[in-house]
Amino acid sequence: MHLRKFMNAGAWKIEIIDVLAKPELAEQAGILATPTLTYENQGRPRRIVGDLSDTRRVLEFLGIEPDGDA
Amino acid sequence: MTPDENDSADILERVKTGVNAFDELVMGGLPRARTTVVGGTPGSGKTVFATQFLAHGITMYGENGVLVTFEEPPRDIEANMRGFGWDLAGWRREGRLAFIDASPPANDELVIGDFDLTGLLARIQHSVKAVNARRVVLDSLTQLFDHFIADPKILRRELFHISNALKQSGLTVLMTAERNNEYGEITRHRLEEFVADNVVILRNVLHREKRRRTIEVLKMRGSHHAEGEAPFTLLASHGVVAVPLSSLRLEQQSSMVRVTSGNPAIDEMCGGGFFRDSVTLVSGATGTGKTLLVTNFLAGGVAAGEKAILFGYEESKGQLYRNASGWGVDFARMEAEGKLKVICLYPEAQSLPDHLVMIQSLVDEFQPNRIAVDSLSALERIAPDTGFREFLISLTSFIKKREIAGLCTATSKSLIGGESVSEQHISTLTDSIVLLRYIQEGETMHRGLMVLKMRGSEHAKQIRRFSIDSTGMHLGEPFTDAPNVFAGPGAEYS
Repeated sequence: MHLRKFMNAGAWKIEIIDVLAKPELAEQAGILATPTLTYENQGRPRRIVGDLSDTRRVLEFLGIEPDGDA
Repeated sequence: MTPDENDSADILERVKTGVNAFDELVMGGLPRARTTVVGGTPGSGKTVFATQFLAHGITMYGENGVLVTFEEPPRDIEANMRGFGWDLAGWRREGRLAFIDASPPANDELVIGDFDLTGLLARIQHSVKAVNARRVVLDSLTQLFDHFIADPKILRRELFHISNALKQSGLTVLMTAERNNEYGEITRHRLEEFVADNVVILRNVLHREKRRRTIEVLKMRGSHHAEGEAPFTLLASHGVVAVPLSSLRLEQQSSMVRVTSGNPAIDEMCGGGFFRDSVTLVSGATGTGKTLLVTNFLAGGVAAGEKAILFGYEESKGQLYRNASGWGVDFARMEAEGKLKVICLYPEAQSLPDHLVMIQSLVDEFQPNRIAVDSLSALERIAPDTGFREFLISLTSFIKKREIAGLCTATSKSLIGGESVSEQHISTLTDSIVLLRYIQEGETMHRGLMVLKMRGSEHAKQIRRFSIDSTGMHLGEPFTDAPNVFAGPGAEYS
């Protein structure tokens, strides 16, 4: 999965929710599209819809420094 | 995946929408387990129509519903629809209705790469299960497209998938979509091509400063439907009320029962009175005595033990009462005894379909044996031509269906003769026509009355002179030197 590939384990807590198994959580969060990455940042929660194929834009949007060589 | 078409050979089960006349247009209702797209410009009544579909299912058929809203939050919809008498919040608490709030999120969102709408589908299926729903509304898809504006292809694919998944669970689905123009492409983003078994269009056309709402069934897969636009109106505490036209059939029973016109001499001219389930037109210039004939008609009915209702569009109630008492008829007493109902209204107070719906509901409430409308010419001035013709067709067929006697008046433009505009429309729709004319004889002006047409009966062919005094109308001798009642002023001398 694109997400795991680019983020070091430990620094981020990732929870994966299957909307088919837990539709009530999708309802709570107001999810329409899948996959949706919701970034629960205290200051400013943000969401990305889609398969995250463009890593650079993902990191930019989330405001995360790319790991290592980028 | 292609939609399963095997069942179209069978008779499709119908789901009633709650808009009676609309259900007639589509042979009983929307087909069960199909998707219908309702297209319309902003303000054309899509959300009301869609909500009514759910409300009717809940209140009348025990079919619970799910309302997916992409635009307004549920709280707003609940407030907006309360005016139509639909207690969405109450149904929600009773577990008969579930909302899915898919209105745009407040926080930032970015689309990167491919996605699907499994999240939405999972939520819909979850709610469907929770309230055991049979009907699902998505309002409106256009907002969903605006939300994911860069990816219309993905949305079409996903909506097709959602539509199929819901249909396979036996759900009847109604999706609304916005249109840019009243007469143009069916919906923005052309999504009806991907998801719709059926397409319905709501219009709100501005024509000569009047709004005219119509509903049209454009496509109905595997089924017949009436074609063309049918007028409708939005009413408080009712919602969408469509006026059936193409489904109107000339199937009224025709009885031979005669009822009095309220004037024995006119009864005699008509061969024994008007027929009970017939509509009579009284046409004449201003001051020839049309309202007097109406008054006689109502009083004659009440005297025979019937109930009568009058819709007046020219004079106030006070004026009508005063006129009547001037001819020896006490409207106030009749109304107090519950024998008569008089409704006076400016034609401009509401649209023509609203007038029609009001007449129908008051007639059904009061259950009169006879009805008078004074005058059609006043109503005609508020409507475009097609609207007026539709109104007349609906009104006359309604009167006949209820098997009550109807009397309508029309004012002719010229004092001496000539046809009124209303006559051209209504003469073929009415069963009888009584003409009132000013007729010049030498140096004096007389009033003349003739029965021009009496469907299914013999009638007198003379033009009778008549006078009006404090006891009403008195018919006298026929004119002997036949004047031309159809000619305009001065024509008899040419």
